Amino acid sequence: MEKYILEMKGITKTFPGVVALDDVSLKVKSGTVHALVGENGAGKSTLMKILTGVYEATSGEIYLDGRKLDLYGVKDAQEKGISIIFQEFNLINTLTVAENIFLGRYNDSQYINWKQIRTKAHELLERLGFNFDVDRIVGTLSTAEKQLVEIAKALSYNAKIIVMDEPTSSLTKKEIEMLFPIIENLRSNNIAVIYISHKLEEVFQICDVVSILRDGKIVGESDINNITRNEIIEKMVGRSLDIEYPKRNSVLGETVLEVKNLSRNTKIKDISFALRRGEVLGIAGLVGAGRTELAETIFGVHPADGGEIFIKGEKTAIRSTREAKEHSIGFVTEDRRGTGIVIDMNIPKNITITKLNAVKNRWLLDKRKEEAVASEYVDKLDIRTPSVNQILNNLSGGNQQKVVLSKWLFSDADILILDEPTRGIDVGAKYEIYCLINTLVEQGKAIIMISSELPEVLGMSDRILVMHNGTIKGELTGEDMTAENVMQIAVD
Amino acid sequence: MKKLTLDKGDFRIFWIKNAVPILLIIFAISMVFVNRTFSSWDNISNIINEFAIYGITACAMTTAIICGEFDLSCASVFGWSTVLFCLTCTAFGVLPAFLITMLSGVVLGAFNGFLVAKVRMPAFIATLGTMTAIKGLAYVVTDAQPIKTENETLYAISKFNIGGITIVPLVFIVVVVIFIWFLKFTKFGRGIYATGGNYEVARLSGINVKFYKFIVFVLLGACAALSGIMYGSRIMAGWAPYGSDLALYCVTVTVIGGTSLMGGNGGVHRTIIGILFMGVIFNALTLLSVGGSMQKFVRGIVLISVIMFDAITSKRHKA
Repeated sequence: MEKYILEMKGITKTFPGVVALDDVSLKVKSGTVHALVGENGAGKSTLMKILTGVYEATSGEIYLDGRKLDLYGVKDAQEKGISIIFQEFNLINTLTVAENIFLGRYNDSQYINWKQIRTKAHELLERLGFNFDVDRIVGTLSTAEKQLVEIAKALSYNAKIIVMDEPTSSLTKKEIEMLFPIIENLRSNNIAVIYISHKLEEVFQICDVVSILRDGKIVGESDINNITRNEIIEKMVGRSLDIEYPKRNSVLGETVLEVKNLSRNTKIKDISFALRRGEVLGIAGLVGAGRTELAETIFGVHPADGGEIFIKGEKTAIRSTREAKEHSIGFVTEDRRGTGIVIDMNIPKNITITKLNAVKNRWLLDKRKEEAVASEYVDKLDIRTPSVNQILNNLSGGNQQKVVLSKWLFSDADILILDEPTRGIDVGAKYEIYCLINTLVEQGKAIIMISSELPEVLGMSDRILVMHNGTIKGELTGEDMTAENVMQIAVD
Repeated sequence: MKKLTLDKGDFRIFWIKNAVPILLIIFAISMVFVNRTFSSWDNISNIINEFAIYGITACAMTTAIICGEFDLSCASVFGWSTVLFCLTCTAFGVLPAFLITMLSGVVLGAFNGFLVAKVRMPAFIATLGTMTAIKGLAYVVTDAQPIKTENETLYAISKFNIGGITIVPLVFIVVVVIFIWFLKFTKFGRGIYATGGNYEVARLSGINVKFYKFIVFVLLGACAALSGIMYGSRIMAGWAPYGSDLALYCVTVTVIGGTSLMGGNGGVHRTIIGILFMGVIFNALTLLSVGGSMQKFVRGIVLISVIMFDAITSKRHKA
């Protein structure tokens, strides 16, 4: 019998009306990286929230190092050796690295021995293989560096288990390559890492064991060497996925959007390109290359201060989001919860928000018309929801994203800008979004797709623009659209 | 995820959602037995006449809160309006006085709206400033003295009643109906909910968010002026300190009703419950001879408890 550092036994968690976890057991060994995968809503985060003391399990037990654990909140879990690093970091941007690592537990006495704290912080970072100025203000650090600070913080609690929730979702390729040695380092320090990710390549690259959750149950657990990528996907979605990127038969039509020498202060410089009906134009580049900024400029979130925009051959100045909408542009933002949906509103209200005039009688909004519109899109886009009037908060990420798409389709947008359209949604829903993109371009819409996932851009685009430092540094078509070529251009 | 049948959680949600009306009914019924005056028609009409005045502004405050804003200065606009109304009533007569005072309310509200929507000042700071300035203005104009008016038409209007119910509750009902109607069934109302629910989403969806941020202050100014006119005409006098507790009252009844301070949900129909609740409780306290100072204390505690309740039950804090 091998010894497990962590054993979660028979964990069940019910919320009013819903069973989120159903008799889940998870065993993790020290010095392993244990992947936890599953579609959104499968129960990964609920399970991890129970492990880190955020939620209390309805039933079931947790054993750490053979001893039964009762957790009273995140802080308590941390002190007992279980740390979690969320996608959004728990760091105070205005304080220094050292201050953040030891936040709230500087000293036992009344006075803070800063020198000692800085030395200790330095030591922790060195243990991770980094020589780092601990006096730097956290707000000035890159995402990867902040993550490093979070890991150091976990180490400072003598963490035996570190949970990483989608650690690479906001990192660039280069930063990811920096993160993996750190994880290796944790492994060799005999720390157990629970690694939650949607990116299966990473799971195969870094993890030792994988557990698969579906609908609140563990549906599979295996050594990473004894399972294939397709087997994992099958278990996650409960069906097999043959092709990752569906084919389409679209015909390129006339140019609908043309941008000439577009600039906005230092964010984007001298951008020119044209977009045709029936086309998916991919925009690749590293984080910070100006891709989102370009989208925001075209959509009038931050209007351009130089250059010209032509829509369907007509020169137009887009000074606000309203004007962009009137020129039949739609913008699916990268931050779905923050800028895509009103989380407390129901599906009809979220969809009709872009064109309330269409669901209005002379004076009043017509609830039945709104519901009819919503039903139409629920059917068309296969939005999975118990009822049309569901609040968005109760939908999964993929279905929320379909609602965002619906609202722009409802506004009659011909030009759709999709910024990270599949971020944070599960494999099955991703595939559906790809199919949907294909259907749309086949109907003659034009799509600009910004994505940090290289395979996605390569698989979905007719043409790829690679951005770097606010400019378009290269354009790739046909045979030249390879990952190597994109990265060559993107990194300098 | 499976859907379960009704369990304990659903009952808890039912209680939390309906705690206020249930408490209100229990309280009102017990008062009927405790104090005989409580259920007399005189007292009931008194409650109705009383709360209708502040209730008008509460409707506008609810709208602003749904839109993610709020306004401290409405109390000063109220006081200033009693003064302006009485002054102009003596000078020009009832109708011109009404129009001038309403106009002043709209202008003051528009100024707040300008500061918040256009200059992008936080509402708290902007309206704290205008609150002080408007109150100061009212003091300067009146030399800090109460102003009386002896306009006979006004006297007749203010004394007009049907079975003890004056014209004020009728105005209140009209205002309430208009607000509920606009908020629930029009594009305008949806814009307010969307702007308060998520400003960025609304903006990116091409909704004129600045207009909504602006207009809720104009509505507040107008309603505070209308409340002021109602109050001034009832006692035939105006004075700067009148209505000092208006802002506090409006926020309290809004939150008691169940409109979240985070914006984006709730509604004026809920605020009516809040208004009834506060009306009944404070009428009862008076009948039980609890003094004014003590009532003030209770008022503050009620507000804090309710906001605490809101913070604890609000799901969004966890999300």
